[in-house]
Amino acid sequence: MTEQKARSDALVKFFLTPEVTSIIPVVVVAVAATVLNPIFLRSSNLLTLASSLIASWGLLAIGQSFIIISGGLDISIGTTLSFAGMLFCFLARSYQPLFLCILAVVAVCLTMSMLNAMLILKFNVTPFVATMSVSYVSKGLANVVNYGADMSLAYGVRDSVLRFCDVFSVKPLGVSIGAFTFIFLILFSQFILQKTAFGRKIYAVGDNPRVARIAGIRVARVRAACFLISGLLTALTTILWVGYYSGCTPTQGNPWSLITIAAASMGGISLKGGTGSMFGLLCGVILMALVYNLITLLNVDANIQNIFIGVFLVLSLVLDTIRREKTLGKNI
Amino acid sequence: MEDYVLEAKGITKRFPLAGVIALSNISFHVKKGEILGLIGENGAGKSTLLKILNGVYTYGNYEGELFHEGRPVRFRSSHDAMKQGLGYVPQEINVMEDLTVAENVFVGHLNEDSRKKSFRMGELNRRAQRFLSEHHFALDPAQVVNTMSIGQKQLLMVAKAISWNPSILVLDEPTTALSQADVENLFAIVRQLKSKGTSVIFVTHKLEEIFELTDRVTILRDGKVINTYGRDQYDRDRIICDMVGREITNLYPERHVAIGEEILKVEHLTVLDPRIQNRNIVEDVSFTLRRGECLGFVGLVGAGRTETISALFGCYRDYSAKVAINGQPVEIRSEADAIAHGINILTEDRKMNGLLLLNNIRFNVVMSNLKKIMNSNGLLSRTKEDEESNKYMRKLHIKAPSNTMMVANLSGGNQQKVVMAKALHSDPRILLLDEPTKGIDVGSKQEIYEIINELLGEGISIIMISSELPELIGMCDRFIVLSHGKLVAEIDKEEATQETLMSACFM
Repeated sequence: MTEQKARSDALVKFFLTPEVTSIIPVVVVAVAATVLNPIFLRSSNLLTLASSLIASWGLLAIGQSFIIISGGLDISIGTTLSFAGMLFCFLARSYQPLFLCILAVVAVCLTMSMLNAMLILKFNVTPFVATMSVSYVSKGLANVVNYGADMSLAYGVRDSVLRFCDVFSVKPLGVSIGAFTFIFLILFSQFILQKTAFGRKIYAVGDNPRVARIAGIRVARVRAACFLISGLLTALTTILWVGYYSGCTPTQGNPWSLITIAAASMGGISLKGGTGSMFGLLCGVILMALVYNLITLLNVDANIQNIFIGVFLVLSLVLDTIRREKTLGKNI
Repeated sequence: MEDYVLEAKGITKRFPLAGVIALSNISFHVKKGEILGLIGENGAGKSTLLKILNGVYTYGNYEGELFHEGRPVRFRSSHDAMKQGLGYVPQEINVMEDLTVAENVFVGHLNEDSRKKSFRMGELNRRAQRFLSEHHFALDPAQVVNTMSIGQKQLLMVAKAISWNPSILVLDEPTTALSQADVENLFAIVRQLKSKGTSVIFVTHKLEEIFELTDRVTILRDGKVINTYGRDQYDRDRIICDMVGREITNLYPERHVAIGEEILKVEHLTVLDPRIQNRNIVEDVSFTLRRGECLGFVGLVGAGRTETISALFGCYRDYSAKVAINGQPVEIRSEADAIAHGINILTEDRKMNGLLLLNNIRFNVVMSNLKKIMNSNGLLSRTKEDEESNKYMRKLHIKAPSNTMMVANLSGGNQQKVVMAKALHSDPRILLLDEPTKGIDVGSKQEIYEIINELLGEGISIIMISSELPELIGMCDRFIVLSHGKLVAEIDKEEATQETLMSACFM
């Protein structure tokens, strides 16, 4: 009886491993997708999936994960991307050189992330509230740039920008450059988290900032660095995306903030901070991308898509709590 | 049988994930109007047992049966346990700071008539006044709780539990944070309850309290009931032996350490109160520390002991002092500075300030100095990490199956040793210990004392804070007495007795 119980407990623990809990729904969703619409399995569809979905907000999710593990949260990265993307297009369409466009994107993303870091670390604002407020600023700015209209880079720009768009819409092996960058950065980020002192400090700060401080870690510096990393990744994503898409819309990245949080959370990166890995995130990103792709293939109304993100976020939060209770007991 | 207010039969509690059987086949009973002492080492299963009695672990999460006044009871929640007549006062202070005493006492049943939905403050205060004076609590119903002392808050929690008219009251180490006067006050209230026929289960580490207050004592060890003694059979050595499972001949081991040259000199240390403006919590404190010396800080709660060492460790921004280490003036502006200068600290509250609870032993131990576990290429080395953490696990006798055990699943004594290992990993020359044996059983205490002696022998200097005077007297070479943030006396080992130290506190 007790042996049986121990075995079932071990089983429960296995299924609560972040990678396992996110791979199972991946398989389920993939099978469901194949049954519901056989197009799903075609290589062209899978490549599109990898190119557009994962490459776009997948990169953002890496930055988001750094912030979440260090005990923060950023719901402004999506809107920052929208604004930075629109600004890129605006400058390009004003016949500004390519390097100025890129510089502007980097400046905007870093400013926004540092603004978040300052609000949270210096003025003690809750991450949710701080980044929520900042997201409204960038959301508004994105609309101001071109009176709320989309911008294309297909014409009316310098040759350097055109060449840039050509280069970034190239798909070696049928997959966009963004997807390759994503895979590379997942590996690199995991290396940082696992093998460097900085990575170790991120986990410690997310676990308990007071203990981290007593261990001699400069907590604010570590957390600010995570925001900085996220800012840089947002800039990179903006550049890759604008190049791939040859343009931008003022609401391009807005839903991505929440998707990245859902992906991280589904991948076992606890929103309470201090736990998770980039491999878990990879599973979470693939899961969310599959769900999105399935929704698109089934021609589901865009408004209903939000329901899916919401449901997955809720689901992952419940899983997170169960996981904590099973590994650490109820008192945490 | 009927005069047993509470009886437990064959209580077993397993934690399958940690692979631990916390309680195995526990049986005991409490008679009407009796004070039962419950004593045991940390990890003996006291907390687990209390959680079952108090409905935190609900029926079905444990094996065995509880009987309340002869009837089997199955608590569905803490509230359920309380309504069925089982009052519980947890160890931690747990009050609503911004509400009044009366509101705190009667929260959950603000109206005597439960059908009424609204209540009047005046009526509540009068009812609280009646209740408090009936039970001889010296508390003012209208006072807001955040202005009260820790001792008063502890009494308030007892009052709150009594307000539900429990037939049995469980007190979990209620005296940890109390001054002597408050302790006597609490004991008087407990005796009063007893005379009115309420039974009390009194959980403690302190043998003196068992001798003074209880009618019977039940000793737990390793999740089992070892023995139960009636008052006439009380014997200090026998109880300690039962608790520890071996005989402890000398709690404070002897030490032969030659005290060396002066290593630390602190002059005019003043710390501003972070909460109240224009007030100093530490004022003009100067002291020195020698190599291999153990310096004891004596004082009541709130005397500024913790604040003094916290300032020394760089926890405060608003402080001024002249600090010299080995004759060299140093500037300590952050915890990282302090560690770089060879100072480390063992904080009082290990759950809040000591441990990274989401992580394992290995992760915690190496945190204070990551450079030590780096390869020549600057990357962290798993091999070195294992070596270092295993070294400390052996040195400090941390009992765990491996260094990957989660610290949250360790017992209090082992957790404290992990915090100690974390501090030692940074190779400190000066170690600050704030209540290093708080909430730890006798066996682990002695182990900690031995570790302290070993460290002093290695030439580390120690500043120790403790609320238990016998411990300070047993361990320290010299004493500094603080009162209201000021240094009021410096006492040598030869002159130090409980009386001289205590009277110095009130100078």
